[in-house]
Amino acid sequence: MQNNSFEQKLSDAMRCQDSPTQQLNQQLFAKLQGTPSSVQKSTYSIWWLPAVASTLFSLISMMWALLFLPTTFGRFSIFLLGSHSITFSWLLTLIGVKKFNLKTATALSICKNS
Amino acid sequence: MERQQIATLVEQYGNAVYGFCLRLAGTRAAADDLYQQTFLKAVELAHKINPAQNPKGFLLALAAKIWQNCYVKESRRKRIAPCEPFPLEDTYELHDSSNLQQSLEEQEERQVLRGEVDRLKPAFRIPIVLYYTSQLSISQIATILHLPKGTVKSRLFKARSILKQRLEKSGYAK
Repeated sequence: MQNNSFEQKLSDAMRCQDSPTQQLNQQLFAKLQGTPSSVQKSTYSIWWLPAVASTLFSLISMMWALLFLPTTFGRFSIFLLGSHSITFSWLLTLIGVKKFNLKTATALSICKNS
Repeated sequence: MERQQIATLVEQYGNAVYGFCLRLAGTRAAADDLYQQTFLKAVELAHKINPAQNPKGFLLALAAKIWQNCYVKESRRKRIAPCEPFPLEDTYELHDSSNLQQSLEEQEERQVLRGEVDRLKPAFRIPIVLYYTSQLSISQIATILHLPKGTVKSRLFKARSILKQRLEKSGYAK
């Protein structure tokens, strides 16, 4: 098949003359009237919060273990647990963001009074 | 940008956005949903729309992003419970009775080609729809998708070769 002929075929196949129905546009306009505008509402995503909180708690535990635990085994165990907790919380966050739409799912809507 | 201005955008670019949604979503019901979601999202992001800076591109980018998110969810759902959507109900227009067979063959070929485009991965499908349905240039597509021009060109090239191969396999090569 020649490239030009294929290009033409693809162009013809993908051309779209359809337009939205009047009913669809009416529904849309009605919904638009009911939607709060961007001035009144802004969103803020807290996708990072669980991972940051987990990191902070783990670091505090590790610090506590370093300062107050007398045994090396205890310190080592807490360090191991803490580092695992930090690694996996960031890994899960990354998976959530990449695969499960975490950013939009954890978005908070903030209404502004202006 | 006020809601009234979004309504003006619906009137100005509604057809272009709907055409894009229809080719991307594949079914009329999904296209209707995508079309509405695009403009409703545009209201939320109205502060980012500059009427002087290609609002059509912004709307198409928004539609592509929403569709991509839905596509990911849909693929996951399909893996658990496979189902086939109803294809677009194509109407056959017969203009000249002397070329009836040729006309029908061409229309069937177009339908097969559209089906093959629907089977492409989003990374290839979105540039193809933007290029052929929305008639945008490579630089405009690159701006919309936040990709380098070279990447858009290579994706279009790859998508064309995949489609060509599949079409030839289906026996439509002439």
